[in-house]
Amino acid sequence: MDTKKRRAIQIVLLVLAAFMILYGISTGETAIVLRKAVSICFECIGLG
Amino acid sequence: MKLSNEIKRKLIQIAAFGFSNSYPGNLPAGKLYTGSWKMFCNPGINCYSCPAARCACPIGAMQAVSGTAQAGFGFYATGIVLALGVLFGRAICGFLCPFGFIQELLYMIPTPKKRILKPLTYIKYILLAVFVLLLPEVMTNVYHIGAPAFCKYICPAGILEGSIPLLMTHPELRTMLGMHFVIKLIILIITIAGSVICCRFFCKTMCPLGALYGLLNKISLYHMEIYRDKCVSCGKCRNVCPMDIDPVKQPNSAECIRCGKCVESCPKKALSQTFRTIKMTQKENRK
Repeated sequence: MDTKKRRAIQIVLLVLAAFMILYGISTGETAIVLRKAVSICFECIGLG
Repeated sequence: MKLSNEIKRKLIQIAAFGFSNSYPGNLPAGKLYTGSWKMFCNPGINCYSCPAARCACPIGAMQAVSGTAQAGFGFYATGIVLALGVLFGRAICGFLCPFGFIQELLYMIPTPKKRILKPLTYIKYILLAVFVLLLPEVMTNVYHIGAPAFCKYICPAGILEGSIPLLMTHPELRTMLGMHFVIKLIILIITIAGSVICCRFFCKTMCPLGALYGLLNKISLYHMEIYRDKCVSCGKCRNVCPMDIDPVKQPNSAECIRCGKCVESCPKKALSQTFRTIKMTQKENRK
């Protein structure tokens, strides 16, 4: 792949990733992740 | 004393494993770390129900959000995976993933070794599409909450890192053992046996996170460069590759975990793993 094309794709995807992270934080997704991660996930450990 | 790249990589893997599971004191007590680090996603697969775990599993985090009644898609976790993938590609798998490290340790057990059949490597993309992305959205209960389908039905890390330590310290949980646990235990046994015989069996066949990072390998900043004028097609790089790739034919293959064994093995220094391009290196050499 052409270097310039690859660089352009990298920049676009990094900007997209930044927007996604910020959007997720602004809509409270981190609270959902935290709430899920601090409790035993019975489904994950095969008990639910 | 000069350390080989492989020893340096192992040291990074040990450090990453330690950071990902930096609360081993919780293991005897059978309690989880409940601090604020758990809102951050670990770069690799590490079950957040492991008592020692510091961060959230990114695959679990994606499903946790997409499975809730209000949220439709896990933008936060997916954004983190996307950013890490664009920066490092599957080097995350090769250097930072705790479950990948466990598999490499299992592979050190002296047994006859086998290569995986190429078509089996496409299973992980099906697991990603169906169990991680689709099912948490469509398979919902009466409260419109979806189960984390990959974690619930497939992921062996949950049994190894979560279930076994918790069942040992919480006898009351043993009353909940049933067919669900048995099936996941069978998947874990297959994964362990597979990892002993075939390097990184789970990474090659089942890991949806590896599938995501692998899709970004072709455009990641940290990538493989080949100096084709130096390559003599000796095949040494292909022979040492733990992911069964020919680095000369597919330098930025979706399977490449950037372990660097091919780079070290090349007698002509024709391979390089770098953030730079060949043009940038040549320009610097001319100055």
